[in-house]
Amino acid sequence: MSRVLRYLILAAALLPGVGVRALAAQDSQFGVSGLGTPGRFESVRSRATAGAFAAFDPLSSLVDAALGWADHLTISTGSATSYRAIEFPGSRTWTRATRFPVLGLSGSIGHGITIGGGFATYLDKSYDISTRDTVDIRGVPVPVIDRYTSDGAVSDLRVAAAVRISPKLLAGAGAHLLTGSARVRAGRDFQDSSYIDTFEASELTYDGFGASASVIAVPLPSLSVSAFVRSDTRLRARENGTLLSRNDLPTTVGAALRWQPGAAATLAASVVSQSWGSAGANAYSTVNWSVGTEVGRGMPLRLGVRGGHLPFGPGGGAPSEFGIAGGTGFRFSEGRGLIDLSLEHLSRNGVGLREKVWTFLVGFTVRP
Amino acid sequence: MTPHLRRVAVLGVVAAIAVWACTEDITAPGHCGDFCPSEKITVLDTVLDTAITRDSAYGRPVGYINPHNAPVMLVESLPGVRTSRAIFKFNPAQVLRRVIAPPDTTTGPLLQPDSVFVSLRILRHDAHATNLTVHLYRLPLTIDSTTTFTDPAVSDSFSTALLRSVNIDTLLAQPTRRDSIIALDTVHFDTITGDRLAVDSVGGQEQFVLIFKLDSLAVPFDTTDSARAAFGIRVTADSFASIAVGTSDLGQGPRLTWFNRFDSLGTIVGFRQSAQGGTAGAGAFDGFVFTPPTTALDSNLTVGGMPEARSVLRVKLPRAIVDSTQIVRATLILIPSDSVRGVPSDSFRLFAHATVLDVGAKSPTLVDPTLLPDSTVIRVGLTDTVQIDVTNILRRWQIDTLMPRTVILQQGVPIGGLAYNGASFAEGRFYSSRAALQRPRLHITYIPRITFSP
Repeated sequence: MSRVLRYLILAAALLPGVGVRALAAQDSQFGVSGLGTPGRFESVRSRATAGAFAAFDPLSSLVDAALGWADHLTISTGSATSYRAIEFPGSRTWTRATRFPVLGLSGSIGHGITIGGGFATYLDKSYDISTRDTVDIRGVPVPVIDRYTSDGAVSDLRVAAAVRISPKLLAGAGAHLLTGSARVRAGRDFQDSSYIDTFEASELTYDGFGASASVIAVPLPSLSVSAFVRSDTRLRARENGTLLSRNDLPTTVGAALRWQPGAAATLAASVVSQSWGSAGANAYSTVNWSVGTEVGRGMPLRLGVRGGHLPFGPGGGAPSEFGIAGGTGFRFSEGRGLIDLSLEHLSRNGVGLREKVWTFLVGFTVRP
Repeated sequence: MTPHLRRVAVLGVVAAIAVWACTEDITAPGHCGDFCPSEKITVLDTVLDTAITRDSAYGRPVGYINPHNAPVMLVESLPGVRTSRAIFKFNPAQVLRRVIAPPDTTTGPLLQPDSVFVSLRILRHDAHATNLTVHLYRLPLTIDSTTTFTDPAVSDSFSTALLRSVNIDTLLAQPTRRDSIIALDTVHFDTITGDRLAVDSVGGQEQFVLIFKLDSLAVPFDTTDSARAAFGIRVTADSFASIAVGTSDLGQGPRLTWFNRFDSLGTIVGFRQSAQGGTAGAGAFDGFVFTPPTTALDSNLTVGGMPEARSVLRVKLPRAIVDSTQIVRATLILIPSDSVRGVPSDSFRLFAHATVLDVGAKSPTLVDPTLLPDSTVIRVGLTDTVQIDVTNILRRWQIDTLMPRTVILQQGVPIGGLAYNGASFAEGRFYSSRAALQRPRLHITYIPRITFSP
């Protein structure tokens, strides 16, 4: 067994929280009013640049054509721990969650063709909400505590291929199976013991399908340009085999560029548009952007900012989102192993709610 | 730092962060409406006016519990209401003759006792009663479960054969002393008569152990009838003259103790013995007689009384409620057809039980050791509507759809922290479904099935 694998197994064994719940990278209370909180198809390395490098990162699942640069068998995964401050008018609370947002595998099969796959969170559907209220029952006010929980996600299982058409042009395409489930529970506790506390639980399953295509052009040695499109069909939700709903999923269109003015400095920027507005109530189409840089070699410094909107939120308008991120990475075993670290801060603003999220991410990549 | 150490340090930091972060805590505050799932928990409430059907009362003239097998002997003197007297008969004395001088096996008869003790456990008395006096009578041995209040032998004895009257208040005023002879407890002791009274508290209820000390003139040791003896109890007070005396059915029946003497070749020796088994067994008896007889059953629903009556109700529930809701509270509403009868200031519990088998009057009640039975307290004199929670029963019907939807109403009287059937004259009478306007109703609060938002 190689040293790389030994390190990876050791690290995995030391991560008891990871893998317990294969959930989304980023949940948000805004997502409760819609289909959920969309995941990010970004590796930990790209998250450190606020997603600006995702379009050129073979470890990210945003652009299939980027797989063309993955000339070795590569396995990557990561975990994310979020601390989220939720601010309502007059109150504020903190939540914490550990997620396992992405797993990828890619490798060349020769003839300039690289195939890859893995999973990423498509929609996070985890939340746990308690409310206090007083309801009139039999003409008497009775205090109650309601609790709504959902634990689950819709995952994007991707199979993709990229081909290097020429040294200056890569193209890629992928198929996406959207699948997942959520254990949901709604319960009411009565403060008056004359009433019996009650709850109802169920499991919802989801399925959908999508396809993606992308190209990356390298018009100049220091400049890369990417364009990508993805179309997802619909998300069907079932309870015990009965169809509950069918929601349209968005078409994603994006573009990005990367500029490398020097050997140890790279800049990137991207813009992504998603037509979430047809996905149901409280849904809005979004445009998100990001700008980032990576400076240095060995232990590079990565920085980035992102902005845009979340697709779901009440109040008649899409919640805004702004984030800054930074991070670095280590190589070991002659570059066969990578550990990427990232710290991200997001501010989200919507009608009646603000969220501030700190997320610490750790990514592992092995190239045996 | 060597590269190897650096890698180990990095892995250690990563592991520490992961362990620190692995706990989930994703509970968000409750600001619902906009930020909650679209599914809502709604509470609905309905009164089912015609849900109770095929309801009847059972238990007269032969009740579920009758005076001869009741857990207590009810003794009352309520002028104009009821007079009830305890009657009980002891088993024979175990020993009538003894060996005079072992090893010679020649036996001689026991002599008349120098003292005889009759012990009673008064399980319930009215705390408001003053000058509560317990009267002990000698009764003929002919008493049994068929004896009635007007039986001449009994009624004559209660007129002429008074053995002792003990005023409880007076005896309680006596100083206490340790009784190592018969009570084996601290007792209030009457130095003149030798009567004793021990006070206990069982399950929050004050109980008395009353011990009469008699002599052989009052209770002769009649060897021709194996020293059997029968007694009766009557009670008087300024008001609220009502007590409940423990019976052998409860394991707390009266006791009779003989302090016999024996002539052993000219030496008089003492010999103590008790009536074997007290008042339990085929040859013994404990019960009570009363007048006037309890009112017969009518078209109403009767619960309690003596003989003990119970009512059986069948419930017709809408299928939509049984199948597709969660019942959070169900209340059976009963309207008394008459004020609840009994000793003033008394009360009892009205229990509602499910049954596993509906065979009419003999339907067995279902007792779930994991759930307290549905019940409510009924006070004597009550004329208001009675509401008894039957939530547990209805929820059980939702789970087990094969259970008969039958409710049995029965009385429970607290004795020493437990509820007993047939331990009170108090009874409740409620309108049945045959009374169109006052019929029993069922008030159900439920939560319809939740449709989860996708």
